Amino acid sequence: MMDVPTGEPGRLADVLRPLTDAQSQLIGLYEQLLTVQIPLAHSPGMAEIAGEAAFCNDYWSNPVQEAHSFGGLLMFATFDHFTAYTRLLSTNPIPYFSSQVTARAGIDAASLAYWLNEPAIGTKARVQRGQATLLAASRQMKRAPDYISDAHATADRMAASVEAGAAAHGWSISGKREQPRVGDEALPKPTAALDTVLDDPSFPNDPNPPVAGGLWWWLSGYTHSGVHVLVQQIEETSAPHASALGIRQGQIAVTAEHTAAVAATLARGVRKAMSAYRHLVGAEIADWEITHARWSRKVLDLLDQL
Amino acid sequence: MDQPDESCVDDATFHAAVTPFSTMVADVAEAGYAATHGATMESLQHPTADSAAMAELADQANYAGVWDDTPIDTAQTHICLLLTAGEDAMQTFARAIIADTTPLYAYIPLARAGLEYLALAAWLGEPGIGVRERVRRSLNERIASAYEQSRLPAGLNPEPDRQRRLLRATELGYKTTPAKRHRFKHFAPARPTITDHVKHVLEQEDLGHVVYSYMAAISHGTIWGLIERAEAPPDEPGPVVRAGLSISSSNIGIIASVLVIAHARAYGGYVTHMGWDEPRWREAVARAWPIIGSLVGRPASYQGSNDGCADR
Repeated sequence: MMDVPTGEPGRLADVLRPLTDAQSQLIGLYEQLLTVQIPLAHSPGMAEIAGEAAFCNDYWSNPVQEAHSFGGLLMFATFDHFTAYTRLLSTNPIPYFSSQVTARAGIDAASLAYWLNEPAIGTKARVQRGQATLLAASRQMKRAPDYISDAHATADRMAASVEAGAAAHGWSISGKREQPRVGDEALPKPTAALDTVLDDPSFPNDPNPPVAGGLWWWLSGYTHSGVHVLVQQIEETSAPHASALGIRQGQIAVTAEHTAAVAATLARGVRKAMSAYRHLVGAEIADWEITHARWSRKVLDLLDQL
Repeated sequence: MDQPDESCVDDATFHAAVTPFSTMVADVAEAGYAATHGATMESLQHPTADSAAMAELADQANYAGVWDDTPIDTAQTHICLLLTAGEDAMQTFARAIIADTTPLYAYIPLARAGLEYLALAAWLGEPGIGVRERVRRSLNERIASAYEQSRLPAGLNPEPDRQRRLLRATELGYKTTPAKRHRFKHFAPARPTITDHVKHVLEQEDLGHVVYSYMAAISHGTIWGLIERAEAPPDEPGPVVRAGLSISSSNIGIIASVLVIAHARAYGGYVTHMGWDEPRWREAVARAWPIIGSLVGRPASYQGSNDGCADR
């Protein structure tokens, strides 16, 4: 183990510097990629748009472009969380707990973005995924308080248009208690989506991927005030006041090893989502492979050291 | 709930607009953290001799058993930990909104987590509920934790029998909730939902509901939450419309205000219960009130009531 003394959170950012520097390089790539907001000519995305007419009807005026827009918006949210997360680890002091919240939001967004932008699923599946996303959004809007009448009316309108448009194609949609689904495509549950986005055989030298279910469970604890995860970072001390009545004492420990593992996992998911988007829009980004390979090496080196 | 500014401004102007919100949140969080923890491990504060918390501690032997020898110590420790986690999220939020480039979305999950920590701390630490109710609430949260641990893969749960051990506190006369599918038994009445906690800590049913729904939508990448930041030019011809993503300083201000209100309530209750006097924290909250008032368009003031937020 590398000697990282507790009580010196300032040093943690220094220890993690190789990783955050490598992540900053990735951010530079992704920034370039996200300037491409509409599929380029000859891209798979443009081929889907060319076939859009077959999926338009009285209720859906541009369902392929709608699916691409949702995918693009989620890519941006993924980028936003990933950038914010990298900054959190680059600056002293590193948060005790809250960086995990940002990591979870980033992985969550990346997994949904990947699902929407997944390569080679075909135009029909793309349309169905886009509409399932809309159906999910309408259900969430329905949870708004009654006095926001606009939200309810808009949600009803969205759900009705999804249902009518799907029916025009002979596709069924899910019931209210099921995962939102249009035709054959259902919004994946978080752990299934995580499993997919973290599994990336195109980079065989990566650090081992974590178990998605465990990761989601653990990061969700930080997001939802879970004492069961907070206490895992507490190292109880035998301080002189330990016998005093009231609050027990302990040190909050943030370890470089732990933090690097979460950072690497997030970056891994973001990379796969970004790669899918790059494929969809047909963007050529210089040094894409080499920068990712460099990141992978840096992570492995750091984890070895720790 | 977004209130877009009328015009787009450059980074420097935007930072100048959000800096007071960052300072407000950081000041309140730092003051709370410093007051509880002190400068060193040894300076952690304990309840004062004549506080309600000390009275509860004096009574805790009557609530001890195989489930916990010191259930009130444990409750106080958990409240302290939740407040610390809430303050950690607040400080990270404060840093995020004044980063070189303010994130469009990433500060929302931070605020959401902070709000949840503070809301749960406020409920567990609510003054005046009495030792019996405090032990019940605390045990319920620990049963919930044990349930979460039971979802770990086999062999990883440090105490597989923990739920059963905690539930033995029925010996104190607590009744358990009915066993429902996908639910765990705990001590009646049923644990409030997260949204209930948020409504309670904000003392505003509607505000709590709206704020929490909005935060959850953005945190989970739900399109209606993300798209709220998209501003499509009205005169752009379709079918492809390029829409800019924007963020308003007032939106950030509202979220920052929610965090300060939640902290005022959670920490204010805790301070009262522990019998502390925290002038630095009270001053930080007092400085925040006019800023919050300017956002909601009416004066707000802080008078230092027993729950920390008398007049809003």
